Amino acid sequence: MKNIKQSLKPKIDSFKKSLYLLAKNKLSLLALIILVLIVLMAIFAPWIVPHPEDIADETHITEKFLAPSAAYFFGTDELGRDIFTRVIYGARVSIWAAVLAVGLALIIGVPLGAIAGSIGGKVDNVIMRITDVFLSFPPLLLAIALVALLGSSLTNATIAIAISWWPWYTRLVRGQAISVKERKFVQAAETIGTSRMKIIFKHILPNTISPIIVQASMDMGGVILTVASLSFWGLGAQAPMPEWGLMISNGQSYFPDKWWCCIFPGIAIFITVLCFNLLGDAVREILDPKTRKK
Amino acid sequence: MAFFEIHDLVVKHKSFEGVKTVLDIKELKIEKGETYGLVGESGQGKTVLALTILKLLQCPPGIIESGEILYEGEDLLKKSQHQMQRNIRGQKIAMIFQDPMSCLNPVFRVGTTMIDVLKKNHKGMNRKKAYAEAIRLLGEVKLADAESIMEKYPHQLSGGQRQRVIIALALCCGAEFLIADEPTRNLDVTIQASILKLLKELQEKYNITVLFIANNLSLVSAFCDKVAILHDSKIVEEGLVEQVVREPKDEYTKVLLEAVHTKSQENLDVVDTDVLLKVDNIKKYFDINDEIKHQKHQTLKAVDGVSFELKKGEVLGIVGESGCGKSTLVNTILGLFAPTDGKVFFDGVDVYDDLKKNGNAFKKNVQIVFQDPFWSLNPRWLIKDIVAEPIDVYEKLGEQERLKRVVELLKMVGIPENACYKYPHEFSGGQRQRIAIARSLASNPKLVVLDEPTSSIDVFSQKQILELLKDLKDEFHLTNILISHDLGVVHALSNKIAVMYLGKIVEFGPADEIFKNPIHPYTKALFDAIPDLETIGMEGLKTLEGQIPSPINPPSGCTFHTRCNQCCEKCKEKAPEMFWVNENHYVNCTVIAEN
Repeated sequence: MKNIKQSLKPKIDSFKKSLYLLAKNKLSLLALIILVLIVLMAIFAPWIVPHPEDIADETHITEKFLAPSAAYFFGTDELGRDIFTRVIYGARVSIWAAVLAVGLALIIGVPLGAIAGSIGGKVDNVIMRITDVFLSFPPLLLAIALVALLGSSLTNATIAIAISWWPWYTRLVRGQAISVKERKFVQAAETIGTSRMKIIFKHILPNTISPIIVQASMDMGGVILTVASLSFWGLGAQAPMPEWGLMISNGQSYFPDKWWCCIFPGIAIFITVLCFNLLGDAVREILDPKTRKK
Repeated sequence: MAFFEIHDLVVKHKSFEGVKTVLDIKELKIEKGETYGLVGESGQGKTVLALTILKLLQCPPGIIESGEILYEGEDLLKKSQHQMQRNIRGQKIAMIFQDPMSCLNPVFRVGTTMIDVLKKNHKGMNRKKAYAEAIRLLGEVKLADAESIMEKYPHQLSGGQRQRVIIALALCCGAEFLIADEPTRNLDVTIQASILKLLKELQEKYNITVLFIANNLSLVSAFCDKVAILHDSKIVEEGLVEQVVREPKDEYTKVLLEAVHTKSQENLDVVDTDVLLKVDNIKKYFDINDEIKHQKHQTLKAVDGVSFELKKGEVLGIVGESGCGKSTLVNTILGLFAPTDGKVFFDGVDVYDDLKKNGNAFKKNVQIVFQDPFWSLNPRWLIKDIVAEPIDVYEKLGEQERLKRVVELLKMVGIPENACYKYPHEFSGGQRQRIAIARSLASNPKLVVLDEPTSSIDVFSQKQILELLKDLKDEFHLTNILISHDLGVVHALSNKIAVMYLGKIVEFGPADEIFKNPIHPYTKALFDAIPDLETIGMEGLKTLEGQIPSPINPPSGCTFHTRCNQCCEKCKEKAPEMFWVNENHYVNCTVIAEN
């Protein structure tokens, strides 16, 4: 028990330090708070929205295109559905898709990068040439092509994004692995006789984790944007799913008369992406002392 | 009023842990023309002081709370950054930094940098005049062939040359006060001696006052008139060098002194035992394929035919300048590098054969302790996992048993058992080195290689680590190979010494004999270049001139002949043969062999 208590101390210390660094930058603190709210909203959506039935194909023709009011904060759309309800549900869809896409890209990209960087030589060459091929397509275009191949759906869009995204992580991790490989503890492990794979995954990989976290938290915003774009073109989420890009796409035919149909989902995308980018900066500041502002 | 004074200076540093005092100096006075040494270990605030004087300290996180720094009666702390830049930095006070590589801009040629600085600081100096002045200054710092140096980029110069360029830059604006922040820290002892000599000469010629910052008392005793000891951000002792070295008053000074005194060595005689390690004419060449420079397929002979035998229980010290192949030799013996030629026998077994047949099983017998404990322990592992790494590889133990072994090992090196669940960054340098030693013993090795085991830890711990190594050696019947540039450490631990130069052993023999009576000219030069506390002042310090030749194109004949003061015609043509002084001691030198 005594031991365990002591093991917690450094973690508490480093948590305190992170908070201190975060609190120094007011803007990123604000971003973090907003993001936490958005995530909470996404998790508890079914219980907090005023019209949970509106996320499906429900139609209330009599109430279509109502302007924002006390009853419908964000107004209603062409089928009379409450836009406020759908925007909050949209957070659920977008964040889930982003987590899935980034997670999948990490699962593919990180081990490949670690192997390429640590082993070098031919293995490195093969892995990196494959990533080069992927990197030579514009990511969005590649994603569109893949969705066209797989068929339009949110899951397929997420998979397509992950496939066009992983090479960035491979590159990042490879670069890190090459520099970590030179550190003495890796040489120490070699003299001890630790196996190659154990050196790569237990020694090198954990020491490349900080830039990966930074990159991943920045990418969350980008992926949300890409998911919205694909849905906007009809390649991602399909009606009646409450997805922000899809909602804008549906609303655009009535714009600017019924402006609320597009504007509110747009603002949701804007705020979420902005906050993820700010958070990414803050995370980098905490994990990478070199870029800290003086 | 003295030339330079500091009164009640308090500097603090703010971080998430709160505000910490990093410097608290009551009084410091330097007279004109004096050489003032400031000694302290890393982290005691030496560099902070230098930066505060020049007003280059980053604020925040630094906070200059109170005090005054008087330069010829003027308070530097009251001056604005603009005034400092215009009138003080460079013109009045110049600084030589620790690392000559990082303070020369790598994208500019040396000449460009120098002419730039000269033109900026001397009004009306045109390019031509500045060029002539730069050449003069480079001559002043004894750089041969100044014209070609002007055309070179910093990376094309050696460490010693770079430091000379930095000194020339410090001189070029006519500064009267020079702050030298460990100017020889990353240099070899032989080069260190020549840089110190140069600084002394220039100081006398231009009547410069020098504040010399060092982490080592013996350097200061050779170079300075007065010395102050900095400990825990305070000056604990101050006075004439002679007085402080001979009659130290403060406890900390005594510890510092003890650390640099050549430790008198105990009887380390080994009873005739079996040969444990036999190295037979080992060679390690690296292919250099630099297509940019059109130097295809050159070979770098890092280790060029080294043979020796090591008996059980012996300690072999390997000394030599950096780049002489010490580390490559050891890595090759450990089987980390495949040798170009030659064989290594361990306990009668051919190591390279065994590695091919049985994989890594051999590595169980040979472990290494690295120089820098800050990088040799994985920062993301718990101590218990770090120490148990060899156990995991060679034995499969249950969690309980494994922990028990770890605790045992930690106890042996003097680390309490609650360390198990901590991370390396929670320990000091000395403690980390102990943990590294515990790890190296975990697989019950027979041979432990110590690669500069004490050079990056503070003096308090150094001595204890040496004691620990001695004790463990007896307890585990270890055989050691010790690499170190600190002859004190080598003297304290080893009973055999190999002196290496350009990939070859030039002298090999019992430690006692070599220390009392070095025979090879290189061994002599190496020993003479190291300042010791017995002789105060620069007279005892002899320098070894010239750069280490490139191992890609080593000199013909005896590779040392370019720097040897006893060199004769024969040396240039013919490689020397082994000359046995007695049955345990040989040198590779033609001149010695003939006489």
